[in-house]
Amino acid sequence: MLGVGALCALVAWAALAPITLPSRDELFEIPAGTFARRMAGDKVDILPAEIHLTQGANDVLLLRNLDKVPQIFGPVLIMPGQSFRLPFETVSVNEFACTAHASGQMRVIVNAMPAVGWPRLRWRAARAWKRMQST
Amino acid sequence: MHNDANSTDTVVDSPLRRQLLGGLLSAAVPALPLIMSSSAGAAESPIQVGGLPVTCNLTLPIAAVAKAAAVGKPGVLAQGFEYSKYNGWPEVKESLMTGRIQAAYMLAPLVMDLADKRIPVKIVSLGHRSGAVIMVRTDSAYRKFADLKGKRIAIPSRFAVDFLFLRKMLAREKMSPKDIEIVEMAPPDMPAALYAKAVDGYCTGEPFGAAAQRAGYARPLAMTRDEWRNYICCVLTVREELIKENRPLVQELVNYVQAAGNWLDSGPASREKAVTIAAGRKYFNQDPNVLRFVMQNPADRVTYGDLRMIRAEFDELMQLSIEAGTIKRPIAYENYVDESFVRAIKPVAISL
Repeated sequence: MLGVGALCALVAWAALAPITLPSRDELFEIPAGTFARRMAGDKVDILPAEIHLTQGANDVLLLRNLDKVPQIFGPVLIMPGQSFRLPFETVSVNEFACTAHASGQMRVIVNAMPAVGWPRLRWRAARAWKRMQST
Repeated sequence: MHNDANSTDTVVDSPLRRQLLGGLLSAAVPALPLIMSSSAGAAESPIQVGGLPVTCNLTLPIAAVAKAAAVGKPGVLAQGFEYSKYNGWPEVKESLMTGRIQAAYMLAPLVMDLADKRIPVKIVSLGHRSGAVIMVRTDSAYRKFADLKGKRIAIPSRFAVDFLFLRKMLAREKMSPKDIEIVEMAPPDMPAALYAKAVDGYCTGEPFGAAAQRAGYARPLAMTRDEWRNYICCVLTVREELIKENRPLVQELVNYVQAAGNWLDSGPASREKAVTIAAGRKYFNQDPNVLRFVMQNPADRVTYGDLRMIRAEFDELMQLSIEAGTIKRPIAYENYVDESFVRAIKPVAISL
């Protein structure tokens, strides 16, 4: 009974509570060996081809280049070990040239802050699921 | 859709609210065609002009912005043109061939090839001059082009005009393409390849040379500004249907492109303004510092002021393309060029 109550409270919180994250940065790391893999013909995308950000929550793309060579993003040249921070201010779809992708392209989709209720619950669930998968 | 994070927190969602919204929407739907048709009649939608986010195409966003600012003034057509960003020449070529777009900046030899294949397109203006570079590592021993003998050089493709620049340099040094190892590579990959010593040099258009130079590990070994000053690669190309159906709009497009070229070469202030415009998400979506570097180091790294269409220059480009094997046979100049718009240019003011 207590467990059901706690679950209901959690769901209610997830659906109603304002979204506030510790940081608005959404970090993506270009791992070492990315360039070598691409030059060897590896077509696997190391970064997602499509990155979803949420305006007002995580709307700053932070790219960190851990590879041994510079990477071009849009085309800012990010040297090995450097980071590049790109804030997004509006709901939008943005195409960027990106050398960390097999296609040479990366799409950044900035979504609106999910509304109270089901959209917010779904947003939190999807984010939790993604974090569980990456750990 | 709520764009304000705070406002979403105050929205109270309820079945009643949804019913009310649904009712309003269903009441509005029958009126939509009327609303749409009345707004469509107000002004023709602008034509999309395809282009790449490269400094060779810089006159296009400037022309589009200048034209948008001029709409409503006397003698200016209401219909505008908009920059439509593409990521590579194959997509631009495909869109122009299928008629998905009616106008685009294209590589001159590709237009010659399209005309030879009876695709109804015509070059109506140049887009720029110069702007290609051969980059090597800063710490390399290469001081002159002949030092590249036996080395590995990256080019965007064998259809690129950059490759013709490389071939021209080879011929000048009495070298042949067999004297170097040529690898085809997407220009954005070139700075990394040079850094990793996967190639000894690369030949491409800006800003991919400037990006590595600004980072400090690359320097230009040869630039078209020094070696082939009247170099042309990107040209304004339109489908013949557009010429037949809307000649005044094509004329205005040419007027604005040519005016944008003169404006860009009028001084550092114009170039700085152009950097601000082109760096925007709607246009090149690029680091303004890299674009600024291209505009300033040196100021004639890419030029825009002389957009005359000179037959002899196209003949030379064709001859080089035939020798490179990218064009099979000579194509009559009149088949791929329409000079009438450049001849009928009316000066327009660029006030940005």
